[in-house]
Amino acid sequence: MTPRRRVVVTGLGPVSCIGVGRDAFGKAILSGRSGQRPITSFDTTGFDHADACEIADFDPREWCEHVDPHSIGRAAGFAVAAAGLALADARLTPEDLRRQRVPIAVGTCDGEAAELDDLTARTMAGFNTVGIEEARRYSPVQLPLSIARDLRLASIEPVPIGTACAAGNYAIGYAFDAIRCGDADVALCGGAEALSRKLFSGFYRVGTIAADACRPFDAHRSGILTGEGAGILVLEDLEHARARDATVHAEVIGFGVGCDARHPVAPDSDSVAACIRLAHDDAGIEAGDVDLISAHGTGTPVNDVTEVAAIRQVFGDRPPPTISIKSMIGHAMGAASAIAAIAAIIALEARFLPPTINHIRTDPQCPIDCVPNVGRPAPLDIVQNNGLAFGGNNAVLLLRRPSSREEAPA
Amino acid sequence: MRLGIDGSASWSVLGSEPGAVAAARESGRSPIAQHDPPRTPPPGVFRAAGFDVRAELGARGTRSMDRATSLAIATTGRLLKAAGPDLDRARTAVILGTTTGSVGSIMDFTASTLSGAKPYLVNPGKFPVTVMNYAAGQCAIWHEITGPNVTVAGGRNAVALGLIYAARMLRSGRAEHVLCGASEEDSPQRAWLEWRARAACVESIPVAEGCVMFHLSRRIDPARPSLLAARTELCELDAPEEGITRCIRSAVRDAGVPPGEVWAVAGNGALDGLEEGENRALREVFGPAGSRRIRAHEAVGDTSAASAGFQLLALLELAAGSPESSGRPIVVTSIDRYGLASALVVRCGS
Repeated sequence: MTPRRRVVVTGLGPVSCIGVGRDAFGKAILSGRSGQRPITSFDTTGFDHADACEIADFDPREWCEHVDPHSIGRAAGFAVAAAGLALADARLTPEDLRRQRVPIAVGTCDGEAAELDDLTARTMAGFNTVGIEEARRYSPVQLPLSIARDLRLASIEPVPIGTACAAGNYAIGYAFDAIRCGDADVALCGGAEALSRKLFSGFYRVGTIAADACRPFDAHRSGILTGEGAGILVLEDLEHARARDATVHAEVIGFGVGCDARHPVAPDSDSVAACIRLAHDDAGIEAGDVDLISAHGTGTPVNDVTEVAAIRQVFGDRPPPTISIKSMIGHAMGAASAIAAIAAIIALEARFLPPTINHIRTDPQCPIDCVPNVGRPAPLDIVQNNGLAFGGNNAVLLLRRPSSREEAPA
Repeated sequence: MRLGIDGSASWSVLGSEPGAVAAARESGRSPIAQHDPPRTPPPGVFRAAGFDVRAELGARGTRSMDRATSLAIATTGRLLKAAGPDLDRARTAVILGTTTGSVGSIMDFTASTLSGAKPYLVNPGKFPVTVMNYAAGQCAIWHEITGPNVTVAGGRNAVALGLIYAARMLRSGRAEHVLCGASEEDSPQRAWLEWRARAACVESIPVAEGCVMFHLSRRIDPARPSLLAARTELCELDAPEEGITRCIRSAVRDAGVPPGEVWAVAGNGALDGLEEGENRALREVFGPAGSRRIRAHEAVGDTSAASAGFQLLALLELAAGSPESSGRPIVVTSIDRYGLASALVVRCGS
């Protein structure tokens, strides 16, 4: 096997309901801002409660340079914006990427579900009025392709990963492996998702939409708030980043991926624990080395109990602080773990624990320090980012603060 | 990247017998499309022949299941059976391609929120089926495969993207075996949306149900086929020829095979009305004489995400019956309506 290269994160592109771009998003995450508001992107008549973490006033025309914004869906618009932000943050130009083959891995749960919502409403009486453009817009392959088209990249490896709520971590893991094994020097990766009526009504029906607020690990938690947005990261070979004098935000040191193969929707603590151990082994670290866990932490009764049980299986009675940014930005599904990875990197750089907001009282069945309501400084070195999905698809990512040697150019 | 292709299994309008695609090509008989307006668009659809969910998987746990999922479970089951009982399922990954999951289940579900007395009175049992990774997750659950489980929503290029994913997963040691392929359902919504999304010149090809799966590992047996290279490239939509040419060239170069040695090629371009550019690219790389050309969609219809898998399967089946193919490379190309091209180079078994 070829020697493994080191992989670093040099660009962060968050598009979220509490902030767009690294600085705005970072401030919001560290100060614990809530993005909750009434849903406007679809008609919520008939639902008793219908808040979500929606992005207000997103206009793809502000972000699309070469792609026709009408030819793509809302999620692809988020992806294009996030990729542009990530590249600018990395101080890379599209021209820099044209010299190499670039993996573009974008995770998503439902692709362009909002497009399919509209198509459903339109076609209940038949498909005769559907035009060619609409019939092409819903395809999830458009997520990575829109990024490539907007940056005018041709030599690409575009991977739309449809692994539900862990898809963002999957995509980062994909790019990590591509660079680590020497197949690429730079990659774009992350996730994108748009709110949809389909997903909202499904979660509402099974009783997992929070009636008032999303309160992960809380004794009073009643579920998720659906969210949307995108998180795209620039991953780079460490030597490549050094050679161009890039700022390194973090190093990706390990990844673990596995499948419960037990239940279509319920998570399983033994297999989540096994997946966490896979990631630790991949990084060559011990559980005790982890300083912060950015949990999947959806705020549903089942997820949080199962996830904390898995964490305690691996970390014992004194697990590190374990936060959920879903308390602030809701559950952005296929984008969730990508945006959470960006938040984790911001925490590492700031050496500050972001809070889990809306917290009243920690559930005795979720015995962890979730950094309730107010963040605090902490000497962070390694952060773990969990992504768990329907289908028992788990993916865990480990990120390390760069040492001073890596921060300084060689 | 060399990977061994240890086995394959499929289910389509031609049924599930090994060799069915090559046999249909030889007989020259076309399958009969089911036309049931207004449920199906004008050319009708090809439904997987002889596939009865209950007969294959039983009644338990299959009531809410979509056909792309049940087909994938059944086809994966055949692949596992051929692989034998020693396959370590904790070290086996599933990589399943799709366009956007079960679009029939998704749109039926959403329709019920629009037409019911209350918008939330939807069938909760159907909810997981509307999530894109349901099929891959069910394959894992049904067959107790606990390695990495991936859904690649790559549309027409899903199999090529899945194979690139598989190669890296094996190289990174995240799995020792990968079961990689794609599955698509027969539903009115999929058939209509596919048909509406097409260029006018390809309206006559039936949208088809089907699943094809390959078993990959790092074990190379010269008697069996092996994947040598897989490449993707984004082309100019109005002039894709140049991009497709670059894509095929880089795949052939990666594979390290002289273009003149290629025994046969199969392409998907016709499914999106892009065959002309694809043909020019193939002539550009392989010369005016070219090599023999297979069109699997003539036998199995348009299986969308599974289509490149069926092209590869057709070539491998034909090669198995043609001694002159022994040890020679074959090439599968795809180009989708968004301008994404892919090329696979596979060495035939000897």
